[in-house]
Amino acid sequence: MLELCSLSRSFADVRAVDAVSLSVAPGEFVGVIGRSGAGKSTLLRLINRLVEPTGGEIRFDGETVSGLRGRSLRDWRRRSAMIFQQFNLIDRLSVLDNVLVGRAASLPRWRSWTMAWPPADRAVAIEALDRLGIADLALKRADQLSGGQQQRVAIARALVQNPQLILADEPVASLDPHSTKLVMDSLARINREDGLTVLVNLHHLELAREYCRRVVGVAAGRVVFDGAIDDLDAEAIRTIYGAAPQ
Amino acid sequence: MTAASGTVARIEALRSAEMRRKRGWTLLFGAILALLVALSAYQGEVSWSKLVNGLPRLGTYIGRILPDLSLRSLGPDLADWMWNLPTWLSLLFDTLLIAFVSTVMGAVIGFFLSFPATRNLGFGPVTAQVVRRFLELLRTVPELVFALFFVFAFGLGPMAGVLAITLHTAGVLGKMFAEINETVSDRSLEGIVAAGATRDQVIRLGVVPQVAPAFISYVLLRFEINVRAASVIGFVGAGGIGQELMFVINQFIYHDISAILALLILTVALVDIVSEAIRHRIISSEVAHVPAAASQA
Amino acid sequence: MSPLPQARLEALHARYRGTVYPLPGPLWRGRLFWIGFTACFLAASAHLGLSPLRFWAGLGDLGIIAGQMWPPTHKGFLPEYLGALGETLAIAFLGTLAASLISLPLGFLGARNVIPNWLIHFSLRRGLDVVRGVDVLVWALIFVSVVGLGPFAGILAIAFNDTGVLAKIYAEAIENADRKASEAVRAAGGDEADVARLAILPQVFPVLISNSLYFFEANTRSATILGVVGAGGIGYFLADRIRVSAWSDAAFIILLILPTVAMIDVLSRWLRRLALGR
Repeated sequence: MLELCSLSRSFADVRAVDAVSLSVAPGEFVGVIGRSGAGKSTLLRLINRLVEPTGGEIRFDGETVSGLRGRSLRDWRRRSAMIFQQFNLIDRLSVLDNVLVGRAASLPRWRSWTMAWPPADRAVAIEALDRLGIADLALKRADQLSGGQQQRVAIARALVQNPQLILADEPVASLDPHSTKLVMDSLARINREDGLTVLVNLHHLELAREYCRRVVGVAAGRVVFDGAIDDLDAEAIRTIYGAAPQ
Repeated sequence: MTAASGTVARIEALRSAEMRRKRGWTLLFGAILALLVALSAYQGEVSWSKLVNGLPRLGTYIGRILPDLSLRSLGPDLADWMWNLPTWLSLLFDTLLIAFVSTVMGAVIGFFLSFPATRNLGFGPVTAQVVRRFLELLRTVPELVFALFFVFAFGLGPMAGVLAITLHTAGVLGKMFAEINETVSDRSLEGIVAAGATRDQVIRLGVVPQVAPAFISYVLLRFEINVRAASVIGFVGAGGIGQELMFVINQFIYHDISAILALLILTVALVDIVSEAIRHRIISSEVAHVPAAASQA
Repeated sequence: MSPLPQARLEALHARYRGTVYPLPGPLWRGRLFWIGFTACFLAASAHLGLSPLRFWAGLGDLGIIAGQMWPPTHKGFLPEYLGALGETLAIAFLGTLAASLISLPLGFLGARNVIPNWLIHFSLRRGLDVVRGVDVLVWALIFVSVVGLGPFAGILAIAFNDTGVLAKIYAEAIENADRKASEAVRAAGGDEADVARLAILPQVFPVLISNSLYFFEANTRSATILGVVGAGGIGYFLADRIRVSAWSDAAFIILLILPTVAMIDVLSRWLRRLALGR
């Protein structure tokens, strides 16, 4: 159970995330929707602790994760895997090595330094790539893959972190429709088969309608809607997106 | 007086004003330059008579150091010229080893210092400034000055030379590496941080793979420069061919001067060619790796 | 994450070769490279007589030297030091100026688009390579034995050494100059000299100025050590004070050199921007 209690973050005098309270049950697939600049991205980064909150609390299974430091902070990051709009892979590493970056936090440090990964971990990585249908590309350089393939590599990296939560920040915003479907289907399958909680930022309402049962609407850093996708009526859409619905 | 000729006159006036302005600047710069030349000539003890007397002596000198080679007895002549070849080759070999060892050590030190000197890796601005100033100090002090100190502390011989070139190389490469590190995209590093990696893991898995080709290329370039440096480090007794070269020049052993210079130039040229070939291979393998999906992504 | 059963490892290995277990080829190539490299490095170090023991012993001496460097003193030699520093700057300045002036015609001669005769620029460029292959300090030593001790030898050494590098850079800049301008001058009835003066020179002039300034900067650094071989400048005093173990004097001289070099760097960078800006 992920709980956010009046979580806030200000940049200078802009309140990017403003007193957000939210709770997500294990195994949920939650879409976070809103206009660009509404604070969706900062919200996800706050949860992974890439961004420090200026107020409020984050709890996971009763543990306060917003105050974690050092080793326990890194372990929390491992448990709350991030997926980014621009994939954030290392271009010059192989696909397999990129996925194994997700294992780095669970292995002794000299393994990262020599990049001599144990076969057991390499097998886990290739298995994850196999699930996402791109195991054949394992030895290619990451920058030789298409955008959709790169995003699936990023999902595999998230999977091998052995996370309890997946935070996907606009995972399909840079992809073509075909890749979009592949990536969203993968996220849905992971949620279904592994029972992983997924929080996904989406710009487009249609995708939220297709994949999410629960949506959270964000506008100007505040949660303005939280409910089942079927309850998202025209009025709610107007509150989330402003005067002109997208 | 027509309108057209009025325009021409106006343009001509503008033009000559512009020319006058330009000429004014040129005159000013010329005057400053002349003043500097005069001042430097006085300070540098240059005089016309020195120039006139000195330059012809250069011709005589070159004539003296050139070996007596004739086609008829080329073999014996060459053997005569290169009479001390084994010693010289062994000294040149030492010179190459000094350059090699000090380039490797300097590159390793520069490598490790470059990360705290990089501003966007989270070491803090104070650390970055301190390390940068330190690297600058290493870079500004010439190898030969380090060598003068080290000969005193470590004794005559290659060790002093190796350490001197190492320090200078660490300063030069550390600064260059830090600048390259700052070009790495923050986004890809964020992906590793978000996976729960420590800072050294972020550097090893995120920064190093992206900067490695540029690093290697700079190290090779530095090796070429260090071969030249290692050839003169012997002037202060810090090993290599330098000491022998200084000896033959100071003792006016003319033919040995040209023999050693010829061998040295040959060695340097060979090193340059090999190193350049490797660098080109690195660059072309990079070009071949242009992202196939760059336009699709 | 529960580890996969061995059977699954084998199955993945069979299906995707080189993933579960790295391919032996690249793996051993990498290992052998590093083993060989380390072996070469250790052998070279041993050959040169480097040892940790000697290093630690020397470090102690170095510590003593460092202790005696403070406080830096000039013992009344400040005027001499400042004069020598001025001499250093004069050597760098006149050396660079002379090299620039000599390199300009050589650059034109070495440029393929000006002199189409391959024999000329081939032999010229090989000659320049020879000059470049030897450190400036060697030239300084030679010029000392040609014209005697003093800054004049230093100036000649820098002028000679830099001509080797600058002429090549100039030649390349001239070759890269836009050809359209040359054709325009030729079309207007200009001869080769007109092309060089009217079409090429204006284009390469900023490059020339900027390079000369850059070399002035580098030469200031090299000129500080020319005195070690008797070719003038502050290096003479520095080497002398170190040889007689006058460490605080040496420290004083180094503290004079560092800001001077930094100042020249700043000045030259400013002038370079000015030259390229207009």
